[in-house]
Amino acid sequence: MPKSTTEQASTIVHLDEFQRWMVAVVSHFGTDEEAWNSEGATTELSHERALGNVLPSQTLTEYERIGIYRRMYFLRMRDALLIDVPSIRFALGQSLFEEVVEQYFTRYPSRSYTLNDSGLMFPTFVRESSLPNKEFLAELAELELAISRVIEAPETPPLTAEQIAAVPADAWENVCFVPIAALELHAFTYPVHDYFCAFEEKSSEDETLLAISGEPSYNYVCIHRSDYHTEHTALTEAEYELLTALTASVPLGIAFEAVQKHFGENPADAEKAQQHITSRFQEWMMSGLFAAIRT
Amino acid sequence: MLPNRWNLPDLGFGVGLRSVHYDYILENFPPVDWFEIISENYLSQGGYSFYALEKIRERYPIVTHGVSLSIGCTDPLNFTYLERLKRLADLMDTPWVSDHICWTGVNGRNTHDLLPILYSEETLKHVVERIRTIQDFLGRRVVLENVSTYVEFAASTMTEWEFIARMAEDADCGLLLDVNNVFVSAFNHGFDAKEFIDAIPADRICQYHLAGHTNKGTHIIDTHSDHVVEGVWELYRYAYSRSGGRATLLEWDEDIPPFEVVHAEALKAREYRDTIKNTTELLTEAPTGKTPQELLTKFAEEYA
Repeated sequence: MPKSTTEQASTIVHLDEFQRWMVAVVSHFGTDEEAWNSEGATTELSHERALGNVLPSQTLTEYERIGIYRRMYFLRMRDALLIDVPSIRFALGQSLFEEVVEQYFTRYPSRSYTLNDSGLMFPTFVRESSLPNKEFLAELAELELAISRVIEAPETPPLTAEQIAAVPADAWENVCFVPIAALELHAFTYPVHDYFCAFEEKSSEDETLLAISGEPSYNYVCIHRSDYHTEHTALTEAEYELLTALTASVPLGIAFEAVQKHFGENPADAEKAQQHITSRFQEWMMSGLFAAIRT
Repeated sequence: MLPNRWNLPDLGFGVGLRSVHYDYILENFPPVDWFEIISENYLSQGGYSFYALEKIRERYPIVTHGVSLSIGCTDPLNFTYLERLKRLADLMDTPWVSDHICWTGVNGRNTHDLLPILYSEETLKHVVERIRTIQDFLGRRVVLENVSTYVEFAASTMTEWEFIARMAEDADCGLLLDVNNVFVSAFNHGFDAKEFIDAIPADRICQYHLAGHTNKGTHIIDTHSDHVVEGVWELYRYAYSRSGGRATLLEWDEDIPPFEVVHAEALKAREYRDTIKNTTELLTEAPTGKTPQELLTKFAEEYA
């Protein structure tokens, strides 16, 4: 229905105030009425001026027409966050997850040109929130974001068997490694990797929630991509320390020396542990965690 | 075939590249004329997506189609984004760079939606300046698409089609005519879709888009989630008869079916094109002394 001349005259709006008003309304997660009357919206255009500017159609009111954009905004941001941190929904449940989506994007609206960055501030938001088990949830989100980063990291060719074989036997003590770009190591205070593995094992139809263990229990994780296939594997504390040192270009001999403290006093146990970690190191080399060796 | 004013190529009938189809395409290399990519999905140039794109690029023409240019936004242009876009466009050697006639947010906030423009002189001046700057920066023709809209504003002082025609002329940019979007907006706002198409300068159209939508009864949402409806095909035929050969692309973004289904839908466009009299014949038969625009107008009248 056309507006009257009086209504139109009162609704001459400028581009910048119109845009700020529309973003304020579209990104407000309350009812239509709350959105139009929100402080962000009315700072730009009074309810009356805004109502004068938005035209109804034959079938929809002004509120319903703007409401289409509002609903799509919520669904889009919810789905984007779900892609970034899928297991969080199983920790919170659908209803609480959707509440969290609204609170998160109100506190940290997207400022990126890509939806792929939607979850970047989520761990920070969770730590600032009053959610139960918030430290656990923040670390879980960090793990999921780390996996996404590794998936998108640049491809670097890994060491070849020939390059490894070319290192003289007496040089190994002093060699340093350059890691591939698609590699991240993480030490978590809570068992979030165990949780994430359980989440991945669920069938896509299984909507049951996964219980959170609120007790701290360190999880060490290596996330890497090889031939465009991303893996996340659990590490022992010794393995984590060794791999962290190697990716920081600490010479191999010094890095091995530093992790001896984990092998215990008993010589037989220590030898067994030494053999185990040596074998793990060889697996890492062969599975493409390193891009170059510096002798 | 009537050329567009820059002789940009008619790439034939293409499909929007989506990640669910990477493996099928790389295993089968189906006979698709070309692919369009969502630029923002590849700006980081990493991961399997970019690897798949590079492999596909070896065999098919690629056109970059963005969703974050935000040409109507009052914030300053984002040159970090534009730098990445330029790098991608150069790598893909895209014949043009396309995006939408819309804005996506303001004050640094991005709603990731294609928000509707106020069709005013103020907006027109602003948009034209930005297009010119971007074309200079990218060193490529910018081609802009009409979007589906769900609301109109009293502060608009011209129709969408008047705005688009003036914008294209003043900024000297190309147009991507999304026929489905014309259909959707015509339904939502109650205007004549053919009046819209008639007002668009045909020699500036570089590409067509086709897609499915969801009719909610009171309004239509541009969901790209289904087959193209008959009314949109008829509009496509009508528009194509005005412009002649232009690259045509099918988009499918929700409930995406197997690649063969999407490709078959795209190829329906060829059938519709074949029902149109060959435009070259019209040019050959046409009396001399007429401008291309006059010939186009005559052609449109003949096949209306």
